[in-house]
Amino acid sequence: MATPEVSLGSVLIADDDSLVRGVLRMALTRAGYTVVVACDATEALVAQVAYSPELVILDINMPGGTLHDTLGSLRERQPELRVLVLSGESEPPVDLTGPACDFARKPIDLDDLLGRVELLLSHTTSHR
Amino acid sequence: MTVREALGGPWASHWLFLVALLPPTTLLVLLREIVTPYPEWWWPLASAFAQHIVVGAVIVLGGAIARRRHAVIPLATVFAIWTLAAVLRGVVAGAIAEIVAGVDPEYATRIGVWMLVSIVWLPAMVYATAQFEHRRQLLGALDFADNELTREQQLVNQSSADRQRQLRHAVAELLTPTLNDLQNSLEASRDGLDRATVAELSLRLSQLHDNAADLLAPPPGPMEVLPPPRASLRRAIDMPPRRPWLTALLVGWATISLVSLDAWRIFGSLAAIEVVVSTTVATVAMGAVLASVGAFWPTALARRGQRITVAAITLGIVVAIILMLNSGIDPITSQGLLIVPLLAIAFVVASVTVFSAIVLADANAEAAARLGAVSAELTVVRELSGQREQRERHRLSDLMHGPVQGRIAACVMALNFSSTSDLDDDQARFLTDSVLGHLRDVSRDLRRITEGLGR
Repeated sequence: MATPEVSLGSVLIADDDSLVRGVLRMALTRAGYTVVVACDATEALVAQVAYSPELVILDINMPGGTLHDTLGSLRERQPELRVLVLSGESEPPVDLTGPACDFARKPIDLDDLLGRVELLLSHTTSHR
Repeated sequence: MTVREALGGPWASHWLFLVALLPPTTLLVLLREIVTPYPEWWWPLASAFAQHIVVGAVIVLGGAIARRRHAVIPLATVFAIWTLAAVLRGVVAGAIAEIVAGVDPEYATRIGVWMLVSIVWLPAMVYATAQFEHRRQLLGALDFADNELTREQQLVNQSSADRQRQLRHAVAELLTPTLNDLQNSLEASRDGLDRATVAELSLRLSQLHDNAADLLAPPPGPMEVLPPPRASLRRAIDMPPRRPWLTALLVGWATISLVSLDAWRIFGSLAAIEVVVSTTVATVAMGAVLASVGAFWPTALARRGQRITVAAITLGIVVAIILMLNSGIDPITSQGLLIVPLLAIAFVVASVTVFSAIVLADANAEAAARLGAVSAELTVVRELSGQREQRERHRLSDLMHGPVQGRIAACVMALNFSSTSDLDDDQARFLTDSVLGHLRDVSRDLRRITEGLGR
């Protein structure tokens, strides 16, 4: 698990693919966000407790739990958590519910990703 | 196809149809003008062409105007156009005869005869042609539907394992060459990658990802296909004759209406009676042959209907010619000789028209019913085939989701990032090495899947 840096907002990247984690981390860090990464559902829950991120970028198919369970646990602790689900599927999962959720298909253009993150976090700010 | 659809369809005013009518109507005009004292031999021909051009203009223009308001022209409009054309034909014929030959134009007689001929002949000919064209389209569509049904049934009968194996090989054939090529390119230039090269690699990998996704996506619905080709002319008319006595009656009526009035006008009543008698006996002979074969050798009629029909028509013509020349009703044989060509042509055209109209209408109704049944079965089989295909694609998609598609997507994202960002050497090396490692893993897992992993 990586240590976050102080920045615009805090983002948890939960993906079992090291390359995806690496790329997203580099892109978000360069854009000014604090980034913490996790490679499975268990790590994601631990990171949430440790860093209370404002937004989580969540892969659908990760070891350690289904999207439904992982998202449920994350939201149970942090109901206002913003969620961006990334997946290779073309359609968003049916159980992707709750406030300020977004879905994007991999491979996502990184400018598009940064735009979505910004939008979700501005949503967070306006709801505070 | 209803009567209105046939008579009000494109053949009601088709130029090709009018061209086909030029020879028989010219022959009719030549016979009719035998008694007109034209100064030159070619005036009857010129009159025939002038009449036909006027008729063609009226029918084609009238049809075009009517078709602006109606896709299928109403029957009353069609008959009005044909009647107007017949009236104008009589007027043109009379006017030319009066102006050039200085004779009584006989407008009423000419118009009356042409109206009778038009009303008797045009509906039957247009109806038969429309049914014939409809049959060619129906047979073409039926062939297409039958072939599709056979193909889909073969797919349905294929086992799941076979289909899965085919899909895996298709995926491997699609991905492996490009994957190998990309790996080689990346390996070769890993220490000197510029942004343009990375962007190009990213684009190729992105296309590969999309192609694989398309291959694993739910199968598309039935493709929009071009209209199937029409059946051949020979096949469209390859049918046994039906209702021989009705056919004989209509052929006799059409032939007599075309020839007898002019025979009367030109050669007198005896010639007209001879035409009526000859035609009647000829049609009876033709009907008797067809009815007898149908009653005693129905198999022969079904198998060799065309040949038997041609033989019956030939017999009818021979009988008509013999009677016209030897009956003695009209003692002047030379008059019979002049009428015989028109009588023979009228008999043949009437026979073909009536046979076609009667046989094709029934055959088309049967073909349309069969096409409906085959199409319904095809829909059911396609649905079943689509469900099975989707199931197998879904199975493979699940297997490939992370190991292949997920890794390729990650590589695309990494190369995109690499091509648009200023990276330090460590970051660039990390991304390049990671992408290479991912591509090797994809190749390895793809091989395993093709070899049967998860089957």
